[in-house]
Amino acid sequence: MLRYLLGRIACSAAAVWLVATLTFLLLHAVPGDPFSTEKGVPQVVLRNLAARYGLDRPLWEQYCRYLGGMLRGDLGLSMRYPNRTVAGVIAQGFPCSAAVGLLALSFGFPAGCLLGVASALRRGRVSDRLLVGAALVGVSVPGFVAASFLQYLFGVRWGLLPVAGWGTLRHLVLPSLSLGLWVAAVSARLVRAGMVDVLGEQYVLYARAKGMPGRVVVFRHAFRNAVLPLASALGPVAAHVVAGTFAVEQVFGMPGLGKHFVQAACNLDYTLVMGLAVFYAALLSAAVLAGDVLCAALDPRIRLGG
Amino acid sequence: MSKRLLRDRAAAAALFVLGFLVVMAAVGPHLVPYGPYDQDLGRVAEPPGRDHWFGTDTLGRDVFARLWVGARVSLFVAVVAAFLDLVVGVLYGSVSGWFGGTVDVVMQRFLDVLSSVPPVLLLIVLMVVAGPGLLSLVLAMAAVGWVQTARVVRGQVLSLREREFVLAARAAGASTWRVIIRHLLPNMAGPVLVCAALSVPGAVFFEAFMSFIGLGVPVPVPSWGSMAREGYEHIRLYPWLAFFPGGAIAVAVLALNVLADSLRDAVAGE
Repeated sequence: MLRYLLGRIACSAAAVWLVATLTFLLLHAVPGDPFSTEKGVPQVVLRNLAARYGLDRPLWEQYCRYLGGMLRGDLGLSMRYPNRTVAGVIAQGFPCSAAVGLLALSFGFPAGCLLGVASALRRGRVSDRLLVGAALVGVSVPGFVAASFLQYLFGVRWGLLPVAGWGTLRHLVLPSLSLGLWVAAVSARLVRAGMVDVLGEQYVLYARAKGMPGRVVVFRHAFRNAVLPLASALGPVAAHVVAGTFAVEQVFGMPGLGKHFVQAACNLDYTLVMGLAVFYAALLSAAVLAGDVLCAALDPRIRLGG
Repeated sequence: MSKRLLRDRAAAAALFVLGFLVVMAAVGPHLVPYGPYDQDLGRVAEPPGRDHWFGTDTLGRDVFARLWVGARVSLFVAVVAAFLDLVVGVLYGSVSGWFGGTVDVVMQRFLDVLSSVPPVLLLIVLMVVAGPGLLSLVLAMAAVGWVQTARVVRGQVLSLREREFVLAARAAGASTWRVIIRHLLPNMAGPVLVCAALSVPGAVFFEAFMSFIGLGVPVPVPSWGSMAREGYEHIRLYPWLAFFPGGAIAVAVLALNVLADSLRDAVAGE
């Protein structure tokens, strides 16, 4: 168990390091610097700006400082917003993004699991086919497209929910719904496939034959194995939801971190892009790790196999 | 039996839809007397009607013409990116699987790490560095999309390279690359094609996503993603600007997913 976990942690840490190093090297390889674009900046000002951001130092020294700062949780300064740190931007924007993302996951996963189980139990019937079709549509509609449609229907047409903005719980509904529908559809597909496989296994037949109630067979014996593919997909699903927040926050005009990230990328705010990329990489590596731990907890073959 | 029929029917419908999209991408812009960049400032933001079938946008450009020019951009980016994924994945996977040993271990470790990096982060950073543009988008998508193909190819090469026909080919003096290209590749065509097919809908999605957040195809050029972006900004007053490109993305991705699913089932059933 410990060996397995240590291996996974090393892999996640390496992924974060890779993102940090790649973004550092790539953004320093871009010709020119972000300050000289504005016309008529005196040489003295440019030199002072370079000194403030440490750009006058040798590259390896900048890299070491950057990694060292990262380990202490200091991701540096923004280049476009004067006097704002990357950590400050995260502290301001992340709660909003996290609320939307977690809400989407927390209703998407259970809904998808239930639908997937129900679909597999009715395999081949009309209701199963309808659910399979609905799930296929659900994984095909990108979050930002769903967001526009939901925004129009619930906000503009029927006036049931706020069209855009941030502040009350009602503002959370549409953004998390547009991301959560995709989560539910993906989970339903994975769980259904897993259940269809598992329900054909001998041990399920045995549990049925010895007279266990159907509910216990399905949820205690079958589901535990059928949910494994979903658990191992936790990282990619979380990554997709995070990517979804980048777009959905723009649609609903929310002051989230995703919006800041996209804006920083469009404004060529190199330090902010770098810091937020590292932050997101760490966050999503944690999600991958959580998926691995969940798999190990559910499946002794992973836990003990090392 | 009935299920197989349904599957085939769904696949046929998906194929029909895709064929329609491709044909419309080719001829659609020529069906209307308006160019995709022509502005008619007297008829701005007009709802769908007799003259402008899908309406006009806020600059007075015909949405119908722009939608099908956008289809060219979206489908081109997706197909080329998926093809490059395939090429890089086959190269990486076959080298890793064929040479084995330390080469394989190092290459697999790198793959493990790379596959735990969320592709969208790398994509955004690459686009910041390369600047918006069609070519940089295609290359950036290829740079992050090949991991899964490489895994599948490596697995196939590992299982095929011990087979007798490979031994025979080598005994007859075939070089490494000749064996890989002439003898291994045809034998793993099924799984590799499935992998490529599964990556196309993802590529359509990523192109639309990147253009939607403003880091994809630069502004005057229409793509479904950038049109959807213009659409949501005016959702209160001119909802059709969001519906047509958004619907096109959803329909294209759905058809590609249906097709990839049935291709996978067909190959798995062999």
